[in-house]
Amino acid sequence: MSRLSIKWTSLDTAVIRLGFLATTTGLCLIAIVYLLTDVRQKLAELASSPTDNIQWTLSQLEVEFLEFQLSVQAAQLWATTAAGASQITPSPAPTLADATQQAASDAGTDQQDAAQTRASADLTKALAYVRKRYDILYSRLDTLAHAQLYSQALLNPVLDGAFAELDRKIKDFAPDIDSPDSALIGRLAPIQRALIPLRPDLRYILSFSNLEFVSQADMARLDVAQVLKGLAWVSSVLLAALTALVILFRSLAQVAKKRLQQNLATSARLETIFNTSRDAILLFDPRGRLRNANRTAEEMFQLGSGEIDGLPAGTFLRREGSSGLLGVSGADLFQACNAGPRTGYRLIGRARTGSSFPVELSMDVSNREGVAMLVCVVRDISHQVASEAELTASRDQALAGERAKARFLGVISHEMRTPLNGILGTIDLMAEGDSPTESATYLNVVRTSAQTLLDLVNDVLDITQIEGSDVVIHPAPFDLDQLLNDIMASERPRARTQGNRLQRSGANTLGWVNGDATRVRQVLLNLVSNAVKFTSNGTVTIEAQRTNDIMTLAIHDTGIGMTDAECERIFDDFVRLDGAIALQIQGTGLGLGISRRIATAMGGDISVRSRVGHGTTFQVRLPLPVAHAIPTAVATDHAEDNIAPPQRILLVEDNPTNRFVARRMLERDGHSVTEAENGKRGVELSQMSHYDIILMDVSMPVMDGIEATAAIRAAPGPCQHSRIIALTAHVGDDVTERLRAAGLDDVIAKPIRVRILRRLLTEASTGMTGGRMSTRFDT
Amino acid sequence: MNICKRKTLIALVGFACAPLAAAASGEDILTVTLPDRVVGMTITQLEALPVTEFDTTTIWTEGAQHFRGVRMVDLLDHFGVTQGQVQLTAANDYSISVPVDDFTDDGAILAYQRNGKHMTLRTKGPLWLVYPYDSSPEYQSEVIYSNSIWQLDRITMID
Repeated sequence: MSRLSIKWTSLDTAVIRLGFLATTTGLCLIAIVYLLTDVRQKLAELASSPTDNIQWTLSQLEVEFLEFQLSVQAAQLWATTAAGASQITPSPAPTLADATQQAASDAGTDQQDAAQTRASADLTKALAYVRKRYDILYSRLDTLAHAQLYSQALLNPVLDGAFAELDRKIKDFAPDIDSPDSALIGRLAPIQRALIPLRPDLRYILSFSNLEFVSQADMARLDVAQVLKGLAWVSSVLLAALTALVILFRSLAQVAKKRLQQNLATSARLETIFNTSRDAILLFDPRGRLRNANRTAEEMFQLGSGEIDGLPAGTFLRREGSSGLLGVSGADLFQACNAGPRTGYRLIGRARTGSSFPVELSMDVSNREGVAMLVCVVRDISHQVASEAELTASRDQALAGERAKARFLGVISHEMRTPLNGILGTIDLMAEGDSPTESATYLNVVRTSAQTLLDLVNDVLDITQIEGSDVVIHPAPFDLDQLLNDIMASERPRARTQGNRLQRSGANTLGWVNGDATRVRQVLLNLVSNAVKFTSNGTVTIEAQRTNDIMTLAIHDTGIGMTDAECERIFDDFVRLDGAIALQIQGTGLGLGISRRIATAMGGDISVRSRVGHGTTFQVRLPLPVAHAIPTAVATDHAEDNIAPPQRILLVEDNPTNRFVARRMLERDGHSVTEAENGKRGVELSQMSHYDIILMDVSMPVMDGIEATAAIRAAPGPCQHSRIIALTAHVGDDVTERLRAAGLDDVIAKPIRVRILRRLLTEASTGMTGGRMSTRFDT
Repeated sequence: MNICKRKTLIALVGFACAPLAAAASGEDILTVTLPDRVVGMTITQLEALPVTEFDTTTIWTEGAQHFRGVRMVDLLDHFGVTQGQVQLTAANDYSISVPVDDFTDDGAILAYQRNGKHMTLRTKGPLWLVYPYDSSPEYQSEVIYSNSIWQLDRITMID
């Protein structure tokens, strides 16, 4: 980070430098343009000269002056010659210009007349020439005095009016020059005298002017040189600035290149993070259109890479609305981020295939480059939601279980108290021992009460088994008519007590069917028994009808009936209706629940229809296909009161009461009984002497029945092959299986009934032990 | 230039310059020497040629001057001169030589009047070769200034 900031700072400095150099360059360019204008002006000045050849013009003044002086001298000479023609006078010194004329005059001295005339003509010419030279000189002076260029130098104050003086003096000759020849001749000498002193002045004026003009030219040159020098300077500065700019640009380019590389590396890293994230990452524009999405998002919402750009958020993000699922708009998402980054925003994701799943969004608005973009990290929380639901369900289940337990305890304690009251009360009466004749009545009450208790326990056991695992159905052919007759026979005494008529209607012959006879019996018995219990002085009708394989059995009664609400609750466990309680009808409230579970397990169902005060109809529909009758030996079980020949019996039981009851039952039938209070003791006794039958309790301290049986079967001894019968309070197919595996031959469920015990002993003594292993218990 | 011619000229000039007034219209003020003949031209003859007038400043005078004269191309045309050099000579024998091609339709004139007056020898007369100096920087060079011959009285055509 610090490295980066240093780079930024250096870049800023570079930008400042760049600005400075650019300004310098700009100023240089302006200066150069200005100077170039100046130079061009100077060049133009040089190209169009404001002067002619100054030196020539100035020197011409002196030339014209001298020419005029010479012409005056020549004219003087001719004048002297002309005068000498009458009186001989030495001629003045000849001048250059008059050489020819002088020679001519020398030659002409002989012929005086002719010479006289010729001299006069020559004088006239000479005078004319004087006038011409004067005019030329006059013009020259005039030009110099009026031409601004020259007048500035010639009328310079330093000269103290010398030129003006000269000009004036020469122009003063004009009247003499313009006068006729005769007058001019007389003026030649004074003119000549006046001219002589003017010569040095003229020289001085011209020398001074020449110097003046030379210095002026010098200044002009210096001026140009100055401008060019300035131009050179500014150009140098410009060159330096441009060089610096080039260097700066190079370094800037390097910094930019380095930064570009860093940016590329950073964006490559970000790209990797973006694409390897396990959460979907979505980028939305302010209109709610998808702009970018990572690979996870493509997989999550099953989007093709081509259709990502511009996809509205609502097509794949939805929320629960008042009327089903609504698409989410971009404004919704941006609004959710109004107060900064937002997490835990739950929505419903919708894949292209149409499947929906819960998602959780973490999002924030990024304001890069003035465009607000929404970055969403989307997590599929299906598993989380599922486990939450599971947790809620198990909590509800636990609560329901708690409620069921409380209801169960309430019902059980009530239902146990009632028969226990009968038993204990009757026992109190018997203990008083009023009259022996009444004891038969008392015994009947006790038996009925105890039977009620046993029914209760059996029901609870049944419901426990059904709850614990699926109901096992063992289908086999059986005679349905026989079964119905048995049920009616068993319920007829109770019906008679209630003043009810129990009858069958519909088809009289149903024949043999295929099904689990035991379970069918359990269900029908329960329904018929209920119908009888809740009807007084009425009719209970069993109606059977077949539709293909489905057998419909309806049990009508004309009893107290139920409300619709009660009809709905009736199949729940431990439900006892107010009517039942008011009428003091005994029951656990489990019968119908059990019946329905069994019916369902058989592939059928039970339904109920009822009207209060008019009666109730339960309808059972069961798949009971027609079967062929199987001829069976007439059951011999009815020889139940046969007493087996005396046997040697070893009774292994830890509970003294149970031991006492069992010993009395066996001894009354003439058997000899040896007691052992636990498994270990039982094993020891079995080693000492032979027993025909060993009755083995299963749950015992020190050594349990299974262990003891195994020990007896394992060690060679007098009882190794004796018949061992288990006595157990645990009931169930799995228990039976386990006991059999341990080497036990038969099982008797507690409580032990004399009838059962006798039958077993009879079977054992007559060898009817043909592998039939089932729990014997009385219902 | 031979002596004879010079004598004639001196006499002529001397006569012409006797008063300060302009030369009489009957006298030749310009001698044109053609390859085959010599022609003298009076002011009247010159004024009969196409007239050209313009205003210009010069570096030898103060303020704008009005010149009236004959365009050199017209003069040369008058004599049927189309090529070669023109030698112009002044009263003080100052002489220049200009190629015929250098005279253009908008170039130099042979001025005989300045500011509405004929010019005397004292006022750069009788003839002055004047260029329209103000019309173009072309006419502001030292060569042009040197060619601007005044007190002109002789022209010689050279093949």
